Amino acid sequence: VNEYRSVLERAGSNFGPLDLELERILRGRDRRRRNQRIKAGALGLAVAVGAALVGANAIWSSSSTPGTETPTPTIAPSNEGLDYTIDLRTGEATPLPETITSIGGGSGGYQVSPDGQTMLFEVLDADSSLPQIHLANVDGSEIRPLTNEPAGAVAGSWSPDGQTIAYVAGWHETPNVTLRLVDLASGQVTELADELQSCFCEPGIIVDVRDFPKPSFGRDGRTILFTSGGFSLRTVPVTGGQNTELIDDAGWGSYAPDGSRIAYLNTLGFEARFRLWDYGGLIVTTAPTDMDGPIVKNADEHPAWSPDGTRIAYGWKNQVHVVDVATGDVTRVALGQRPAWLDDHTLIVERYQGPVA
Amino acid sequence: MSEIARFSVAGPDADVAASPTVQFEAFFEAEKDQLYRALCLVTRNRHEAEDLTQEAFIRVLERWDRVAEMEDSHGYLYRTAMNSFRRRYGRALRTAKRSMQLVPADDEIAEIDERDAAVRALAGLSPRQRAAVVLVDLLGFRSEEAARMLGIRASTLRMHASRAHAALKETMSRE
Repeated sequence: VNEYRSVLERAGSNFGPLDLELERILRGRDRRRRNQRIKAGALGLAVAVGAALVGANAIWSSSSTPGTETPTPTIAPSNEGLDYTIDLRTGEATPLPETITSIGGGSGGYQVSPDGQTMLFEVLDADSSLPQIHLANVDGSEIRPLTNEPAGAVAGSWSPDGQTIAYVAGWHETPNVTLRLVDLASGQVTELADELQSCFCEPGIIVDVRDFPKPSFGRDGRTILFTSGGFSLRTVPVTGGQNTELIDDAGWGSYAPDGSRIAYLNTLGFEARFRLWDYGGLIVTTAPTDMDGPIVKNADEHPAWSPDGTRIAYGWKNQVHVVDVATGDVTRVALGQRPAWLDDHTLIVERYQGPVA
Repeated sequence: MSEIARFSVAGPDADVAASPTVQFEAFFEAEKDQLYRALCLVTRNRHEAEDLTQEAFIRVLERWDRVAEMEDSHGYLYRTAMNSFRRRYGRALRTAKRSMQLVPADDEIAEIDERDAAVRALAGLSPRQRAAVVLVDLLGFRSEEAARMLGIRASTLRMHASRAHAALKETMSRE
């Protein structure tokens, strides 16, 4: 320990002195108090203004090389602020069924079952502000709750056979965020791992569920990929037991439909990059030493593979992009967030909820 | 009148010396440099470290009436600072933004890297590994306590520290 301490002390002595006076702390506290008061007053106003703004959605379409997208608005707003589907061949936008979008305090986090018949999604409870996962037919009929987690459930993901759903239960603090699996036939819930990546949000503040990485099933459905609280991608057998680190300094991982690749976000000096990693097998116990270069420089939210595995949709600053896996060509397709595939040509997009950078 | 001015004008009489603001000032003066150095090592960016130091002290000041009563206000300060670090780190990862875009590039650290092997050795560690060794080896927190600060299990923290030790050893032995 002394050896490491001396290395650290030596390293620390190189940095310049701190330029921070007590008065700045006092001013900072006063500023925060003032901002808190302003925020409280602005909340009600923001709700009203937000309702008006979501009607101003525009859907953009353009093609470009990675990292240099230039938007070209081509399609007029047509979804009236609802979450919607967009046909990538025609640009046609269609609102999701109102039975789904108008439930509770809001819905999102959609994912369609492998057979294309059923959709899972998060519903925010209007009173508790906690989300729970629900199921519905894709036409919006037969809505039913799937989870009833005391601390909420988010980030649902279908198994390849459509028999089970993995999700993230828990809130706020990393040690309490757990990976769970529910069997749809029996309703039995199994806890597979804890210490998952949390939302890094402040307790008591409305939670942005976009922060949670989704679990992802391997092709044979026997393992699940998840993002740990230590920001590494790990796998765990669906039968439970020891989980294994797959890639360090990585998160928001998603298996390709054929199981041959993983798309994920990683960080190089805090700049997240979206990479693909070929690992050529379902069970890997060592971290990779050689990765593909980043295929997208800027990415936010979970990468979503198209069912045919040729494209990946992802969000970036409230805009939805699709990248061609073979060429790396990026197309900006819509305003919105958290895209999910309805089929090989159609995306589900959550409505635009903020400014576009 | 600002609080600074108030106690400056009042002078060091007994009543003022016992006031919460004066207590906080003593705490601030005693802790600020060590916290800043620790955060410099974790973030490898002086501007980021200064921001986090300021943020941590502001948060502590907001709760000073309770923190002052704590047996371990020092630990609370570091928990607060590490929470802010985790939040920034996680958010930066999530949003793919480079949080340090908001502050100028730290050219001085690049220069230090060039001339000091110890700083260069730290550069090879991940932020989590740096945080683990700084909390445990430099600041002397128990691994359970350090793990709570970073929102991970003690076993995970020990794993990060162990990896960091191996990497540091290797880098330093090459120098």
